[in-house]
Amino acid sequence: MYLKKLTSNSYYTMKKIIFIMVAFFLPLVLFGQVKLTGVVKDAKTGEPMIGVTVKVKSTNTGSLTDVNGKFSVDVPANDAALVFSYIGYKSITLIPKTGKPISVEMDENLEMLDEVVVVGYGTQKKESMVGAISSIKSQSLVSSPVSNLTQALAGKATGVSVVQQSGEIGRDEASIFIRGKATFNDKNAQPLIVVDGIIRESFAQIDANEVESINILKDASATAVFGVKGANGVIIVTTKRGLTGKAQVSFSAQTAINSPMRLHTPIDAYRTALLKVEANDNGGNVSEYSASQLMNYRTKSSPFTEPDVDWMNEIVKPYSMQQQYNVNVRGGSKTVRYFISAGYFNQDSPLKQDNITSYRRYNFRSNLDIDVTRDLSFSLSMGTRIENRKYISSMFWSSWDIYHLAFAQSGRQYPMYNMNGSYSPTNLFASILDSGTATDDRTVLETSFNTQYKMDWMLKGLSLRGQVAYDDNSNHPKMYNQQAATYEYIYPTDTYIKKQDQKTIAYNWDDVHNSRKLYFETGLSYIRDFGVHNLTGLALYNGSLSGVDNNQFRATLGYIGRITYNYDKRYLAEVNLGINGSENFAPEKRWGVFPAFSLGWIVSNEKFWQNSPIYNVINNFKLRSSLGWVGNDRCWDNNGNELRFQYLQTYNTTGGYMFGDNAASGISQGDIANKTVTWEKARKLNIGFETALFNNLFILTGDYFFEYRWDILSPVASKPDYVGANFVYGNIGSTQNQGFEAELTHNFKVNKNFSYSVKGNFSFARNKILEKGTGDGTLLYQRDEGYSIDMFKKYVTLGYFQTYDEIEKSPSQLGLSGNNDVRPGDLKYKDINGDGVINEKDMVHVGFPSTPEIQYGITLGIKWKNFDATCLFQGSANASFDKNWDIMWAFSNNANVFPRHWYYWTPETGNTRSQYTQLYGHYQNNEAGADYTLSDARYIRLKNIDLGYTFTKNVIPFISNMRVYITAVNLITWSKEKDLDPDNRNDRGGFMPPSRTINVGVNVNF
Amino acid sequence: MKNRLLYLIYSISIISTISFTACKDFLEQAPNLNMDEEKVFGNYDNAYKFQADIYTNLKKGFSVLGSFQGAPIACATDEAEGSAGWHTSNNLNVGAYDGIDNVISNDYAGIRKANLFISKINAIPFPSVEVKNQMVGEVYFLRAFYFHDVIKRYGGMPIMTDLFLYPSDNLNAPRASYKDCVDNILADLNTAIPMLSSVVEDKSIGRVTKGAAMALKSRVLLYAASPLWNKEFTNSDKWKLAADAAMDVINLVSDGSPVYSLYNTGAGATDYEQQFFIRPPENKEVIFWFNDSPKKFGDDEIVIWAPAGDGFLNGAGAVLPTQNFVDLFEMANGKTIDEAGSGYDPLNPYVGRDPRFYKTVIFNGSTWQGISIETFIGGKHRPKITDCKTGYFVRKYLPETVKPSTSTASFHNWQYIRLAEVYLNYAEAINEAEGPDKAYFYMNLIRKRSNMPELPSELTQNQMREDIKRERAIELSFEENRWWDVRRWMDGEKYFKGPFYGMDITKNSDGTFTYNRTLFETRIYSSKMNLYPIPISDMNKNSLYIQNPGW
Repeated sequence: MYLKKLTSNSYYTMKKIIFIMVAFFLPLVLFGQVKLTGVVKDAKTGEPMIGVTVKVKSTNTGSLTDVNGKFSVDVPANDAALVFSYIGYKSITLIPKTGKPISVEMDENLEMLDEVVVVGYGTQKKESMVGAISSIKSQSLVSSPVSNLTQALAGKATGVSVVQQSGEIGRDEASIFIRGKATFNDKNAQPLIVVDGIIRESFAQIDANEVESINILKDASATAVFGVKGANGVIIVTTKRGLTGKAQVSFSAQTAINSPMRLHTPIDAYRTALLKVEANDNGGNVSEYSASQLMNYRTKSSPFTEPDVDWMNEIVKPYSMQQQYNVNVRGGSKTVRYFISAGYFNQDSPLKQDNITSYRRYNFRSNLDIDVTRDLSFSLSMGTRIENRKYISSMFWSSWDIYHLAFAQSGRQYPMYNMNGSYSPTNLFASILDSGTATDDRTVLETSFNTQYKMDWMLKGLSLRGQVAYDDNSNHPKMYNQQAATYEYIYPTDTYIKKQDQKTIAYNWDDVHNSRKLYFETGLSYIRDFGVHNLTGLALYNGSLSGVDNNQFRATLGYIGRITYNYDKRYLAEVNLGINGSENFAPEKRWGVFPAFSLGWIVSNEKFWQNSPIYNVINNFKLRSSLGWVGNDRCWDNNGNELRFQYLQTYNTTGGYMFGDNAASGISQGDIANKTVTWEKARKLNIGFETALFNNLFILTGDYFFEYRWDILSPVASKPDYVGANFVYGNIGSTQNQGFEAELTHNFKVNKNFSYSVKGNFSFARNKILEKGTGDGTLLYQRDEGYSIDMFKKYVTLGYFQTYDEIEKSPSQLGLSGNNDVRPGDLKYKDINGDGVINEKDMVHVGFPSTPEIQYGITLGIKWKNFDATCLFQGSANASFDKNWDIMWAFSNNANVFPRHWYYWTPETGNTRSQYTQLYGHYQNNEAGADYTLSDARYIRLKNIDLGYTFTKNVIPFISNMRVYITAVNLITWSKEKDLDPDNRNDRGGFMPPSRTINVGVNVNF
Repeated sequence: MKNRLLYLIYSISIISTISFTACKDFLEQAPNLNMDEEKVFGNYDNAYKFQADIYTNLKKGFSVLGSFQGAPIACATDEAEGSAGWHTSNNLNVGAYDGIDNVISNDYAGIRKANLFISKINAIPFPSVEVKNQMVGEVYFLRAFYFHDVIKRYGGMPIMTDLFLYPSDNLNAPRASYKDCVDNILADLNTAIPMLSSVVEDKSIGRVTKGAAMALKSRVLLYAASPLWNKEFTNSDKWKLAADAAMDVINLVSDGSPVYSLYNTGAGATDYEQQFFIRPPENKEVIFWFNDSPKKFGDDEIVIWAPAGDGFLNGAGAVLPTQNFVDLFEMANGKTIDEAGSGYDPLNPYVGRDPRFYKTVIFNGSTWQGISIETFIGGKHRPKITDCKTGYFVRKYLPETVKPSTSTASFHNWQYIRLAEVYLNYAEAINEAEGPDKAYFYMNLIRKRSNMPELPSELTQNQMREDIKRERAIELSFEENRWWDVRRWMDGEKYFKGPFYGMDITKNSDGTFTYNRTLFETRIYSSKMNLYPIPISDMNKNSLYIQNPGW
């Protein structure tokens, strides 16, 4: 009803506006004395620019350029100066010569001092901002042909750590932490994701072509307005919107080849068998292989009984394909602006013989902005995606069943196929070709409706705003299973034993999940300049309701306020406030108040600075600081299950017990409830500066931060078994987290044809556990308190024992569980507490935490005529990961053996040249859990190279410009870790590694 | 101006009215709990279900060691070897005792449930005093049963009667003395015994009976009187107490007839075998068991124990009896294999043995489920030397009728206590208290059921003790008794330590076999292992814990 009325009303309004506009421009024509005409073009592309303001200096007279970039303006006198201005471009002032058409070329303003940054519930001018915010622009996102937008963040922003653990097709999302971790659980440490003003689950599958910017809010002043969930930082993704002017059609196509990085290569079957025999001999065990079997392995003369299969190479494609297309249209009139985009992404299976697995994504976006009257505007934003994932059934949950077996299962065990053509046991081809099909279809619909009403007539600068958003996502996994018969060939009897039955393909299960979210906000915003006093204000009320299927809804309510004040662009002050309620806590524990205060001083705007010679060197210098409180109301356990309503004592129905022939159902008490559970809270301090040197030739920013996090929702770690039940989580833990980050940008335009840029960022964050609820009986030096989150507690290895004499003289290692024999070549451990026995009391924190403490990136760019090239080096340091499985499990069962095991300890190789312990089938000593298996995860990666050439209009008709490019991702990695990709942290090498990608693409603008 | 006001009203209408009207009780999203403390204990049906749930902390012993296709405790004794690398029994055999099982938390969870139920007895509207007595008695029994499961592992442990609420001030608790623990268990059992019925209706079988509580008491007292504990359990007539407690079970009558008797249809050792697949009232031997639905071959608890190889698709062959165990079986004439005149033939070792041997072990040349077993090297059930490394599979506890790829099912109930154990408890206790005289009768009852000859008369107390130990090893094998018996006798270094043998059998060209005892493992055992170490993770949580000696 309302909508209908509104539409008919706005029709009359439109007519009115047109009349006003005509009336407004009429005087210009009437009073014109000299008419000047000309054209405005973009200096870089040579494109005509639409909507550039052309103003006669010191008057109110002016005009706008039309769709061809042309303008005409009447000036009062011949020597009048014209000012050309356009957002994002440097203003130009010139005194035109009469009689000649004026041709103006405008340069992009790379200093971006006028730049507007999207912050929580609004935008701010970068110049007067006091929060710690990093920005990534669309340009640098599009040039990374990643299958998942999270990966594109690596190395591009300070304070953001990106770890991509796997290259699993369709689910290769990187985990992101902002300023490291300050809470125990990975899932609790995830930043908040805001897409177009709405809190959303993920931005991973958004087409990079649709993204205008990604802003990362780090300190409390920026995140306090998100009170409830801002504690881990906020990632704000903003999609492109329409611009006034002629429709710009842009089309891009990319095709890429992916090849897996760092596949494990085991050593061949003969050498593996030799090592196994040696290990058995040393251990006094029955030899697994006879001399004739060894001979067969060596000569490969009996491939069906003594095979040598390199499973990894047999099943993994050297490269697989990926395509991406996008077409979008962007434009608008004065009153209606639009951005419409459609994209398609497709990724093929990384496995040989697998023509089932694939990932396809279709995405559409339509962002409309309508000015109904001069005061009232509406926006409608809609993004939708269809994601079709298809897998062979054995790879539905993860690639573990395939990759892990290829990694771990020895190729000496069974042939690829038996002599009679049947499948051998645990056969990977059987898993690929005969496991069935599984699909996972998702549809994602994200809509929001926005309205803004300027109420200058009531109070100048005041406007009313409101928004309603509705998201509806559903996914539908479906599985058909089958199984091939496998047979083991028994040599002595020349028979086949069936190891697995054949099952024909059959529907297994399917499932439909639906998640919905409703969000609303309404509020007032105020912006007003009173001479040198600039004031903005925001008061907002919002709420959201979301849920999956029929589960209990999540609900939040919030009152949000912000006041910013700047005096003469010199002194900045800002107060942010979030008062938030969460359904997750008992009514009296439900509300949290999260204020933040910040101050800034733009020193370079002071007279004394501008009058001093230092201004010639440092043309911009800003100091800023903030202190604030933020919270978190969500809690996940270590298995990724969300814990909700922990204040309620639950009772559950159980399977019960059987009496007679009937199962009696049962009731049991759930985990012991915690009536006092409430917000996890963080206090954040940030001190930073921004500076520009030599007229913005160098721009340097730096930040120091300190965070204290308390009431962390964590398990009661000290609960002894005799309590007899689990406690729910409580507000137990506390941590601190501090660090610094710096960013340096250098742009230099050498001449009209040649320019280059260098951009580097560096971040360091170190956390410390202050309280984790460690049990009273724990030895002081073994407590986690005082160490970083996710550190390893292990024995310290001093090397290999060289002689029995050395073993005799060293602290006894027989205190290790089950250890009753130590031999030369075994690992020697440090007796930490000096009691002469190595046992669990000698385990200490070693290495670095698993989340890197140091992150950095360096982007180098050059432009020469129409060529451009960018390369990004990205790296991380101060991180460890454990390779226990990889190293220590080689000789268990039928696992694979790797090159390092070939260089096992012998008296000759000693401590210096051995890469593995002595070979001996009893591992109680060496597998006790030592830093021996810890790997240094530091690396530097040539993350991205992007080479492009731009054809301008002059070269190709009908096309305004066209860029062709070739991009490489993950080209080279330098790391201490040589076997696995250092981000692919899975201990067992069991998941598909991330890919190296070579991509060619074209981007056409019509 | 009028228009502007209209727009304002429109905007507010669209946005704000939706928002504000939606906000009533917006944050009240918590589930309306259909069960809370009052609804559970204030309602008999729910309280009944809560009580039934206390039983679920009972664990079957088929695969307790390990989370995936685990091995039974038998694999950590001289009875058997666990075949797979992941069987944690292999760790125990080399002395790696930390994190042996997660029984302690499960047992204490059962104890907490019992405590919660007992604290609410007055709130529960029981339909009758009889029902109340039976239900409450069961709970007291279960609390005692779970706690004994704890102390037989660790010795004295904290006695829990408390219900911890959300982090109470202090979660630390001291270990109670072994004697206090035993007294606590006996007190629970003495509370339970008069409350419980001797016999329950058919539809309730599986519930705790008076006899179960009395039988557990017999076991608790026997364990307490044994060498490992008798320094702590200082009652002077402790063996007599144990004997009396056993005799009370034997003498228990209902409606004038004995409640329990050995399962004996006159079929000899076949009765011994079948006893495990039959429930009361047909089977009057079993006293307390895990009441369960019939099992198929494909069910884990059968597959794990079943032989591997030809004819046994998916059979895991995880439990492999050792030669050490096989050698414990007497000959059918009652003599041990190394005794003069026993008739034991090392070239034909499976001939003429205790009839129970043929019902306990699957060996080369035996037939099971109609399949001739070949555990000679290269045979169908030992194609590689590393398969079936002892040369034996278990037969006990496996129903012969339950075959692969058929849907035949059989009762396959894990038995916690049966009358034969109570007989042996009595024999052992009375032999210690008064000498061998009164022990003969019940020893011979057991042997005669399986057609074994009676024990020779005139045995000394020591000889009787040795015979009782062997009888327990054979009669109660694979029933999770050996592990505890050897410990309480402090005989671990004798039985569980040192060389362990399998039988490597080679088939000769003339079809005969050559038998070779082959060492497959040298096991570790020392006296500290009579008690489990308290895991360091638990030590860390309780500053008042004192570790067991030697660990």
